[in-house]
Amino acid sequence: MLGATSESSSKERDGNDQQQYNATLTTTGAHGEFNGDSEKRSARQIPHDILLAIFSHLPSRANAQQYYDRTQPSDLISCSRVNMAWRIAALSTIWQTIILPDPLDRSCRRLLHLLASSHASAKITGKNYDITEIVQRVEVDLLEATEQLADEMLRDRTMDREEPFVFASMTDHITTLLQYISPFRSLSIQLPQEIELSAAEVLTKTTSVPTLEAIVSGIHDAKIRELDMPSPMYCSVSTFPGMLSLISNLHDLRSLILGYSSRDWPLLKAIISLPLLENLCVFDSSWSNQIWIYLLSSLGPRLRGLTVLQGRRPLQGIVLQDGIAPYCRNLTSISIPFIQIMSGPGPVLQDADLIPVIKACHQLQNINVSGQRLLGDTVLAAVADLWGLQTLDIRDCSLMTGQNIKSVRWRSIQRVRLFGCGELSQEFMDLILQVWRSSHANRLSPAGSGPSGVHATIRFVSVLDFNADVEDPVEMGWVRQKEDEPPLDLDEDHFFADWYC
Amino acid sequence: MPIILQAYDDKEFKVDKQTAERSLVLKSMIERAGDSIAPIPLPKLSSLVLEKVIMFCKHHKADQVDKSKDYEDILGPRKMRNGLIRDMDEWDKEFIKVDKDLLMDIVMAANFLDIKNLLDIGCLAIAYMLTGKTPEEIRATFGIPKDFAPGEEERIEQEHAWALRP
Repeated sequence: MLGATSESSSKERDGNDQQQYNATLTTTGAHGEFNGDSEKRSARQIPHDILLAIFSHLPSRANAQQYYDRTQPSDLISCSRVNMAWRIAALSTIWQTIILPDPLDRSCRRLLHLLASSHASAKITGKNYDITEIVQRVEVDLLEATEQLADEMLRDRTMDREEPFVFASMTDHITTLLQYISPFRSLSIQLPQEIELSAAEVLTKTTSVPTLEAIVSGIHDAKIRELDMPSPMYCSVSTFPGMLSLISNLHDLRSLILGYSSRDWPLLKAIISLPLLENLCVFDSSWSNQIWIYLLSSLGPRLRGLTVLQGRRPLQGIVLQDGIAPYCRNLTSISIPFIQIMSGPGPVLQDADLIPVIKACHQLQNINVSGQRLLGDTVLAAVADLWGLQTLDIRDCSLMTGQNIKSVRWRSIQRVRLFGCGELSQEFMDLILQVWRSSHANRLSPAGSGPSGVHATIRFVSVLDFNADVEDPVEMGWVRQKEDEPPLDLDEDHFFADWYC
Repeated sequence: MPIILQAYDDKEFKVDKQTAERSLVLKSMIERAGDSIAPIPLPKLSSLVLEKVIMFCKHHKADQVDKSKDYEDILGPRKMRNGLIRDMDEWDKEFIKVDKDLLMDIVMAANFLDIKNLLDIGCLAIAYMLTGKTPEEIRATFGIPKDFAPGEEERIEQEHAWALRP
């Protein structure tokens, strides 16, 4: 947030500046004080937040990955050696996310050494920057680990006995590394999208992947709040080895992003037994309606956010009527956009499916039904009654026009995305603008907050958004870019199956 | 009704309301001022910087999606993507080709006035200037003094030795 600048700049102000600041309070900007006179500035002090904004344009993931390949010094590393202010901002950018290197590569040891020395140095001197405290997100790609495991197991079992020992000692680095950086908030695990048939066979018979076991051991104190397994991948392994153990160890988990949607009951049970889970995001799942209803009824009132990205297998109306509406009454966010993919089915949700959800979940703040082309004005009329609505996305809902809607009750509306709707009635748009202006005016009222505070709460310039900004299925990982042939080990029940066959 | 903006050297600029409202700060001030026609003092902005900012806002009025005059505040479709200066349109590229001091002032002004698009392209241009430069070159370019404690710099170099090794 750039708004934080005002605090730091106010600390730096001397007495004269303070008087001047007070005198010109009405012209103080959204993000603190600014002296535009370049002649008075010999050494430029760039606020931390602007440095972060600048650094956000430099590739950070590539930089964080440099412990793999020891390529040229990165731009962010150069920035971190400019001065202390730049160092703090650059290190935050570089180290916020780390990608766990291959445990069998020396880079893992190198990274561990770097983190350990940074931690020790910060503890001893009290001055140095502790990298271990910056890390918020850990990403790991299990492709190499699984392939390696499969290779090992396929090889002659008469190999030297020392080999597994070496493997185990290397994965210990992963555990130690994760313990160093704990607590961190978010863990992302990328599962292999395609594996050889032989590897799949090995994996289904294996109880766990050593790397994953090492991760499970390492996250004991991590207090991970978000697990992100985003790949909407093809994977013939019914329940990925070790995945259940991983999920059931995450007692602090609030958000689960699940690209891996096996139909296995053990996985569902593991999800249901997460005590604090309140946000669930599922990519094009292979769950049947019964599984969905069971899951939703079990999560029940603790579920606050639900996102279901649909392409091959659209969410059916019965799931909304019998799963969400009766059980998930505390939802504040529901996002069920439909993305049309090549040769895929069309949307199926109808007004009668969604209206019970809207009527039951009256705390809804965010609704996204973009692409649900069968939904019409009756849904819009029900949405108009939601007091707390903040964002509404009805892009490509061509039956929605807002005709006959005489009032909207939204008190905190921030954005309505309207690209591709039907011919919207002027009256409806005026109503939206009216409630937006009135909520805007309430937020702009001077009670208790200065101008900078006011603007920190305003996210959008206008409530009505006619931009298309349509999700690209390829970019989202939904569609293979090379659609040449199906994978050899295609699961006939998998959602990609009928597309390829 | 034109809005009058006053720079710190008292130079005044008349702009139309739509242009001024590209800045969220000015937008809120205009809304609160009602029909007042008093100049809005911006004592932290030089006339040179203010002129550039106004030029940007005036140009980007055209970004608005013209559904109706009520909806003219909608952000343009331009979206900056990390590190891709080529995503800038030609006008923006020309606009942002200024000396580094003025560029930095524009960025600070955009942050101060809350003009997101201008802040984005300014930061992107600065990031572009940083690309491929050594710490010494960055310090020289932006006139930044080195403030590391004795021995600190050597330690930092050690810290990133893994990245510097061939």
